[in-house]
Amino acid sequence: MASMVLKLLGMDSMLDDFKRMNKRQVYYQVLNFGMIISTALMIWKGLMVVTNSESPIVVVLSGSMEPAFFRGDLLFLTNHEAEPIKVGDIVVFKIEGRDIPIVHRVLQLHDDGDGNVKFLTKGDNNWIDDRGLYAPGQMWLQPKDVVGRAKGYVPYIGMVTIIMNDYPKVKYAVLVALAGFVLLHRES
Amino acid sequence: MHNILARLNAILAFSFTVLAGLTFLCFLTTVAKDYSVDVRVRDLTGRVNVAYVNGLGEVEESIITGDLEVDLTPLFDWNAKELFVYLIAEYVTPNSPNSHNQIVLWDRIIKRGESAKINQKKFAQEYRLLDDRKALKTNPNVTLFLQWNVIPNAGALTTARGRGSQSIAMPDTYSPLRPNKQRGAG
Amino acid sequence: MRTVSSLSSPLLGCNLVQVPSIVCTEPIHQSKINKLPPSKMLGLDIKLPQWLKFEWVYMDYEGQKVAERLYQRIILFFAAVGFVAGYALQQFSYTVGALGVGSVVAALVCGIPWGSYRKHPLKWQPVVKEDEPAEGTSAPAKSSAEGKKKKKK
Repeated sequence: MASMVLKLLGMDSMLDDFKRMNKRQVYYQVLNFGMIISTALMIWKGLMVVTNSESPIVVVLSGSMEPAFFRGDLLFLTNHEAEPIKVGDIVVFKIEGRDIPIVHRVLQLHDDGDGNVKFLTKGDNNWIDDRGLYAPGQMWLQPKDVVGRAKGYVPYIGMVTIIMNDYPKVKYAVLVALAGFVLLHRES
Repeated sequence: MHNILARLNAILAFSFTVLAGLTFLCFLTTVAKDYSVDVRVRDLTGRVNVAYVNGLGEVEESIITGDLEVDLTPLFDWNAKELFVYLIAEYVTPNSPNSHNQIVLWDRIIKRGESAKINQKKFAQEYRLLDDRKALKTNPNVTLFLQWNVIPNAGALTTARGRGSQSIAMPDTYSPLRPNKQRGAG
Repeated sequence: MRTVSSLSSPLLGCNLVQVPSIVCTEPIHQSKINKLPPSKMLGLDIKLPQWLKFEWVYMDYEGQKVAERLYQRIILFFAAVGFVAGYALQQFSYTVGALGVGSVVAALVCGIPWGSYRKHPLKWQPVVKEDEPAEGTSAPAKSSAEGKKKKKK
């Protein structure tokens, strides 16, 4: 019965390719795998240079910017120094000592003209501003805390990241399946 | 394509690809649109007083109120999901000519389908206007602008400023910010 | 005794005729065990109606080609209609809705293996009948099967 099910799904010939490989083909598969990884890395680093941001694409993790951004939405960031931060900009910032970037909107900005800029943020869906989130004693954010300003937005696409964050087992399963597929599958 | 599952998988993948393409085309139809509209900000009055805030020390606080009228309905094209509208006060710190201060006084979220007309008489300032460098008293020029952020279905997040603004000069003396509060006791 | 014609299906080694009730009465050869439908493998020689047998799940190659072209055209057509309607009425939800309808229609029309996709079945060569055994030339399994065949006759 199991073989019938596999036949129905069209998966009964999956391992045949693998059984037929010799050493050279194994090397080729590994190199192919390496090419894919390095292409992805190049694209990411290239984006980092073009946008001047250390994380040019982020996934919205919390609901503090609803109804504009929900959990699982994708944001494209830029962080060019020539473009000053303005009130109303959606900034992604990191608080010192914490890894997780936060996506909120700038509520107040003070620039004293000598290069000192300080600003306050607040999430659209929060009642109060973010002072409670900052490090103890910190009353303002500075441009150095900013990872980028949101310039583009695509809904829903980042749900994959959310699922993999919430269920780490899914992440490992997907990675193993992907690695297995890339290493075992051959372009015939 | 040799069994049902393979075909349904292909159909689903194709549908999603087409959906992505349609979303991109929808974004392209609005990419060069000018999102500014005429705004009427009138009859502004302001008061300044001293306040003490934990962490900031002694600061100047100000309350500004006035009338605000704008119709934002033409901004809701098919790619606009939500409008985040906010009223900002901009002023320069005296003695620092290159300085720049921007504070949001009031904001509102307008979702697609809701009424996009704003007509606020004597709008209530939602966020405290605090300045820790004593820049508010006697400031001759505090300008109020209305700006909005257009959140699309997908694509670029645009910010546009309304056409029309008003400036007020802040008073020379400190006065209680909410004078009407005392009346209730009597 | 055989009551079947020589019309064969590419997926089952058994010869079938296209009538609702099929009875396959030739003896089961070892070489054919892997190509038998589950009813035969389980030893249940039930008369199954045509639509319940496995072959309705498949389309032939011509049918697959037609189905692939067709679903692409259906979805693109509904997408174009939805795009125009959405642009005219300035509501993107209409576009997405039209695409959803198009996907469902494409799934029904092209996903389900209708009979029109089975009009060009593969022409298999006729099954070569097992000749009278040449002693000592074949694998033990084959000779035992032939032994069985001899017995039944």
